[in-house]
Amino acid sequence: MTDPVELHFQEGFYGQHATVSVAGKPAMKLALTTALQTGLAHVATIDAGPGDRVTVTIDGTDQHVSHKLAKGESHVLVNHVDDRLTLRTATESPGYL
Amino acid sequence: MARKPAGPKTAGSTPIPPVQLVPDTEHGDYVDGRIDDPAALTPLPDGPQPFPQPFPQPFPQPFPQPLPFPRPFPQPLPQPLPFPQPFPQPFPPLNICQAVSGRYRFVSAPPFPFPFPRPVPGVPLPGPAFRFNGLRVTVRVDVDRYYPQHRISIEVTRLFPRAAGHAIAEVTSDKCLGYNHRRVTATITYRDGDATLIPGDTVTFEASRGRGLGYSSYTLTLAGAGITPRTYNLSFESIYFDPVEFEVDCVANADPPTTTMDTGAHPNRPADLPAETISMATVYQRAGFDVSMSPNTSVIPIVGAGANGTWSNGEMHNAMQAYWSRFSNNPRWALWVLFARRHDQGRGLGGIMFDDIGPNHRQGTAIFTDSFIQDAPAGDTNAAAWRRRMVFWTAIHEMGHSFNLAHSWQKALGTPQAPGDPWIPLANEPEARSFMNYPYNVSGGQAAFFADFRFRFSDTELLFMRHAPRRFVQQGNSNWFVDHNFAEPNAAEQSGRWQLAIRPNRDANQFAFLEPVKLELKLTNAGTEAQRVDSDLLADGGHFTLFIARNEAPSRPWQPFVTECHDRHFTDLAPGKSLYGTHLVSATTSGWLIDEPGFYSLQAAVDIDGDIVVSNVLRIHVKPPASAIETKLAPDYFTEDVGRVLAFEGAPELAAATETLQELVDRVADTPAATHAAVALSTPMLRDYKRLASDGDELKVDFSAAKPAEAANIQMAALLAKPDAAASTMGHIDYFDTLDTLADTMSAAGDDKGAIKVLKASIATMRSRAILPSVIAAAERKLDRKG
Repeated sequence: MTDPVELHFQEGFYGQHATVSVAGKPAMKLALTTALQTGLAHVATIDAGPGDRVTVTIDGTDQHVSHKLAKGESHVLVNHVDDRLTLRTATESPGYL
Repeated sequence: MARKPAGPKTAGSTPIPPVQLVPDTEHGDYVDGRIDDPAALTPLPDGPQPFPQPFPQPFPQPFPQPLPFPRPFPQPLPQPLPFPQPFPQPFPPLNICQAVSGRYRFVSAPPFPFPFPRPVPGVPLPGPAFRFNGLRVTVRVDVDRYYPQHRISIEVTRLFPRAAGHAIAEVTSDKCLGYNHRRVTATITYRDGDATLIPGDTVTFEASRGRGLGYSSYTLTLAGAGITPRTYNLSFESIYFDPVEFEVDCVANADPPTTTMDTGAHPNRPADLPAETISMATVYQRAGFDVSMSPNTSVIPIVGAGANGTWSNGEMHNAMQAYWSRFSNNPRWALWVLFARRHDQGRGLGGIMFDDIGPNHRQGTAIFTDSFIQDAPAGDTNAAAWRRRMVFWTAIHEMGHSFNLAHSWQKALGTPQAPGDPWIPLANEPEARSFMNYPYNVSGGQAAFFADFRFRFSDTELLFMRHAPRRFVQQGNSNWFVDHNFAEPNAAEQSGRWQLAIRPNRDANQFAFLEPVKLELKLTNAGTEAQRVDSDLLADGGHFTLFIARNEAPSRPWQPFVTECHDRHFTDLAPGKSLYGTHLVSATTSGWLIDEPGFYSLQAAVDIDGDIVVSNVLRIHVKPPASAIETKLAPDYFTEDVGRVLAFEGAPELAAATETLQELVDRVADTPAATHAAVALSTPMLRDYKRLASDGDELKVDFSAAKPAEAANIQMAALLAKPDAAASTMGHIDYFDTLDTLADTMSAAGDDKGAIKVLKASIATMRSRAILPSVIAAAERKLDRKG
């Protein structure tokens, strides 16, 4: 049993649909729209842990981003900036204002 | 929904530290006026001027040090002016000018009525006619005081015809020409709305003194770009650019609102930042707003927050409507600030401008006291001060969103997919030490942020808040993050005692090509008591003003072909009762105003004893030509003479125009224009028509004999074959008046049977078009008399 990992979809989403895969298996589908007051579109929780590869794909496009989780990486932050997906990890939950 | 009662309430149990500010003149971010060395200025008239003589004596205590300007400088300037002591010899060659930043205004005053009414015993003047446009010019001068942005912005609203324009000018020259004689010149770099209201490209603001020492005269001159310079005499209104009211409420289980903070409490701060206890009001005052804090603060019982104790955006919106004493769905400079414990989203949300719901966004914002903003960094030397600063910072940040400020890293956002565009091209400011940036997102994290944070907004944010078109900024106006769409300018103050409507008598505001546009004006007593009004106020085109604009082109005034000059007759209008008038507005004395396919806007106004009553803006559409014949007729039709023939319902002496209208009747008979033409061609035949004829060297009055039967045939065909269409194009008043006259003429010619037929048809049409019962009753009485 692994601790859940939080996926934070942040800036740059304006109605796109995305698919999240863990270890190559589709885990969830999301419709994403960033709330510009907070810079946050959605927080999703996935069952994944160190060594698992998390992949986010914008449906209908070839845009995707992938990352193999390391120990302690409990938060995955995904942004869509300049028509490109970016991903970084954090050990603590980011705050929004 | 029940609204909380107004009145002071307890906002929390923790005492709020009182505001203790460093005097402006000692604050490092304050610029108080300007001192120029006359030697560096150009010669008169733009150059230095001598000090006032004799200068007031005795001179007070020494001028605060250090010089040079801009700071410190005493504010307000003590009287008499402080000058160095002992008095240096020779007199210091300095031009001293106090601060001028603030809001100024010009409001046009209604002139004497035109034409000036003839006095009637017992009736107050002035009369109803006027030429007044209700121009209002607001000028925001931003060259000193806190964080000057070196801009002059100009906002012009014209009540009538309704229009608004906005311009921002960048300062290119700022001179102190003499003691309290300041001239600021700027170049317009941004425009919005109707550019014709703010012509030219150069703006000059000048403040000067009169007989006293302080400023007493302010002017704004628009020049450049080949225009004749235009100068407005301004009145000083405020050192602030706009007013705003904040109301702070809190939920019972949240920490008390943090509305003040000591900038010196935490050791990590800029070394030269003055230590003072500032408030929410202080921050926004320094941003340029005249802040008032609502006394109606409340503690919201937790039972109202739902069983889970956390808040959704919808719940907060509902709470805003219930607890905000000033809530209304209208654009206003007012904001509700709620301190709650936690959002549904969890501890990771420190605050939110939650009001992007419904028609009027950005009126409410919330701060969550049980959230990550309480998490001082491990090992912080003053965690309590860090927390207080972070909560205060968050409150100002969320309030900033209500002014439509984006996050510092979102400034450039604006893609086809994004919901909004920046109001001007902007670059992101990811490293800005601004209330709108996330402290923990800058290089070096929050410690680096607060080490260089001066409790202010960035320059681009101040420029937006102070000078952008106000609808972009004002709470409840433009939608969150969206600065598009153009709000109607503020309507000038009206008494509300009258309502003026302009409308066509038809279902759709659409007219055929060549169809003369006839419109009805309706003035209604909107008061609670009977009011006296000139009976001819709307019937005579000289007693009201009408402007017409095609698409976005400048408005053009409409003038009637005839203005009647007569004794004033008055009617006592009961509440809810109306006065009517109908006019052909397509053509005016200077030609045709509506002569092309497209959209037109029309607006009318009347002056009733100083009460300026403005109508709705009526938008109509003129369809393209329906046939090649209409296109071919157009050049001959849209002439001043044809306009006169139509307006006067016949002018046989204008032969070419009459011929054109006859051709129109012959070739496109089944059109609205042909109906008007038929009436105009036949009306002179209803009577012995006088005309001026020459008899050798002399002129004499001749006449054409009436041809009532022929005229009746023409008019009955034009008006009764398709009565509904004819009434639509002619307007109710003209249509039924024309039939009434026709019936009278036929009766006079002995054709009572025909007259009765006309009256019956007229009454039937009145009923089908829901004409006022009193009008139908009058027509029925006339029919009874004929019968």
